[in-house]
Amino acid sequence: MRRVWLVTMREIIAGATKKPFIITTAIMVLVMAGGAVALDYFIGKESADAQTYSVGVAASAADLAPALQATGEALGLDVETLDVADRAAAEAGFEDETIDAFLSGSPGDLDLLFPSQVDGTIEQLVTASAQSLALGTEIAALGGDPAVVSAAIQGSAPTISFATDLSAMEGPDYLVAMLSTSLLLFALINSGSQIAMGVLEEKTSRVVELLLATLKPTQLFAGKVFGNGVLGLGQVAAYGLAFFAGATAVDLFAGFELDLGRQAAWVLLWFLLGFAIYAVLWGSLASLVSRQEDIGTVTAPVTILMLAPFYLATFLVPTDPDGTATRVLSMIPFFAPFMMPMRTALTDVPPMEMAIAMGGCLVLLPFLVWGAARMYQRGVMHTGGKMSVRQALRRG
Amino acid sequence: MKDLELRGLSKSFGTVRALDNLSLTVHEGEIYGFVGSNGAGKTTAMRIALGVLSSDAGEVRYAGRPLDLETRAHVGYMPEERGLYPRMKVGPQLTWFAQIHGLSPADARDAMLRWTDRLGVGARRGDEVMKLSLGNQQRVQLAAALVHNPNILVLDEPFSGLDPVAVDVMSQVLRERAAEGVPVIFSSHQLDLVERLCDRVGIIKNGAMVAEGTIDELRTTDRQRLLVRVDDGGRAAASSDAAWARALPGVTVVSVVGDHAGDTAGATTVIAEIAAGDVAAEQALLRAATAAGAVREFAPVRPHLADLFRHVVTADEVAA
Repeated sequence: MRRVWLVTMREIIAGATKKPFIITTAIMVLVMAGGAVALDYFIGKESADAQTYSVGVAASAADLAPALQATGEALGLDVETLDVADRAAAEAGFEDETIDAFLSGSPGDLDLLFPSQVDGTIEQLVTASAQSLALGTEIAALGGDPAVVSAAIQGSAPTISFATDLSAMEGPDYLVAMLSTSLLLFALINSGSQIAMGVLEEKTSRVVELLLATLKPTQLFAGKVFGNGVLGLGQVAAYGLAFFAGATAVDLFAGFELDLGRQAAWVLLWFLLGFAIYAVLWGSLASLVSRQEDIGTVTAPVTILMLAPFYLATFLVPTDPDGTATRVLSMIPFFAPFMMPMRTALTDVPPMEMAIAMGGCLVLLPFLVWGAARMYQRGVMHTGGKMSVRQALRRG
Repeated sequence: MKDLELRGLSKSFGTVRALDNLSLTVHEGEIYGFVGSNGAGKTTAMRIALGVLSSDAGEVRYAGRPLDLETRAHVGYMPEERGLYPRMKVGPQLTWFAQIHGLSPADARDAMLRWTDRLGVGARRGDEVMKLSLGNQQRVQLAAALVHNPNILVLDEPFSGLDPVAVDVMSQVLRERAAEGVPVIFSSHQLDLVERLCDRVGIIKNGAMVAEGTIDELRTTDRQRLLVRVDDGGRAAASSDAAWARALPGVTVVSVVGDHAGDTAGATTVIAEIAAGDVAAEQALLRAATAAGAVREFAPVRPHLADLFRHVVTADEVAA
């Protein structure tokens, strides 16, 4: 254990003091923090649609104010009414942008003043309010109850729904889900290639022979995986914190229903499981080659094994977060690390399914580690051409 | 006895038999020279001794017990293919290697300071290994083999690439370690060094031991060579024929060489071979030489390790 610890520490120190590592991490931290601020800017623009309509109301038309508010509410608009004395005051209000329109005159003879252009929404709002006020007056005159009538009118509006559930494709939940999964992919590829490079560096520099004279291949390999795992986890945590800090600074998540702390915990957990699975594959495959140029070829299957679940996670899960295909695939070991964090962001995953997904990974791991250790043991002392996986796994 | 034993090691790579039932023992406090031509199996044997390679048959023992991972922590190893972390600084790297071999952080640091000074790379502790010259990298490599105060030394070509000063330091270190009872085995193609340093030598060929013993034992063969220099006016040389020697029973003439042309003395040098301890033949040769002319030189020739090596290694090719 002491030796594994020593290898782990060496990996962490060697990794964390590498210039590319420091630069990449610093840039990514800035990108994440900046990204949060940029996102807020874009989301802010969209929410401008849900603006407040300010209507200046003269004393003569004051009866209409409650109707304006009520109609606004019924239409899902944010309407505020302000008392404005006269046209001069209204023009001053246009200048200051405190009001969008000025309503004067009396019911039955209303005047609506706009700064320069007709705002259709306000026009509709005022028309509907005036009509309902007139209707209410007439109903009352006939002995009816205006409140009952208006409730009946409002109740007659249809409930709108969509055949395709697009709600998951937009909004902050989707954003966080995409961000979590992308971050995971980035972090896993990054740490995986760090391990692959490390294995190859020891091999090409031949220091591995000196190491294996004292260390078991499994000790060396375990130390490498742990060390790079700690580095990768640190990176993910740093990126997550940077994004969170940026988001908090601009209050990006105001009104979010998603529990960000919980989602962060899921991402970290799946990073650990995903890392354990992919890192051993990267590392053991890298040990089969002797030249830097060959590393891409030999690790390509793992890259595909990561990209396929990633794309499934980003395309399949948001359109159908609770569908059968999503549920089944997200419980399969290689898919789970990408699909599960996506699901947790978008929907409530039944504990049973989460347990199966994690259990599957944990059951697979010992076999992966066994195979990887075996390949590594053979591969790392093999020089010359590329060794095939079959050769490395063969007995004897 | 804390001996290092290689017992019946065999190893094949595909169809190539790298080691063929190789056995050797390095006694406590002994420096053992491991000699053989390229591809003879020296490196394979050493790798197996360190557990870096597994053998098909045979075992490696130290102090009567199989050499396991724990014992291997006390072996100082210098692999043939040198290797250190290129981007790690010399000081931290050596300290780390000492710790991997079981030293405490404080002891590891002390040992690192001691060995870098001793091997003349003390000024380079803060430099990355890749920034050092090859010679200095070699010294660091040596420090990596010695930094944990090993009980066994297995060094593959420790002298290659070293300057004469470093060779002296290295030789001195090996002698010191041996004097402390450490079995030391090293391979080398620098046979003069092997001859000077080693208590015993093993010559390996095609993965099997073909000659083993002390230098003196190896030099003593069943045929003894004698050098006879006779001032006979160059007659024998002229005809490449030392008839006076050839006629003698029990004497084989190996070579006849005349002095340089223009050498007025005109002496002839004859190398003859007789059975070891055949005094009659020896004296007969001397008498014949005296009869042939004035004898300037009459002495036994002791072959150098290089001669033995050539003889042993090329034996098959000559026979074939």
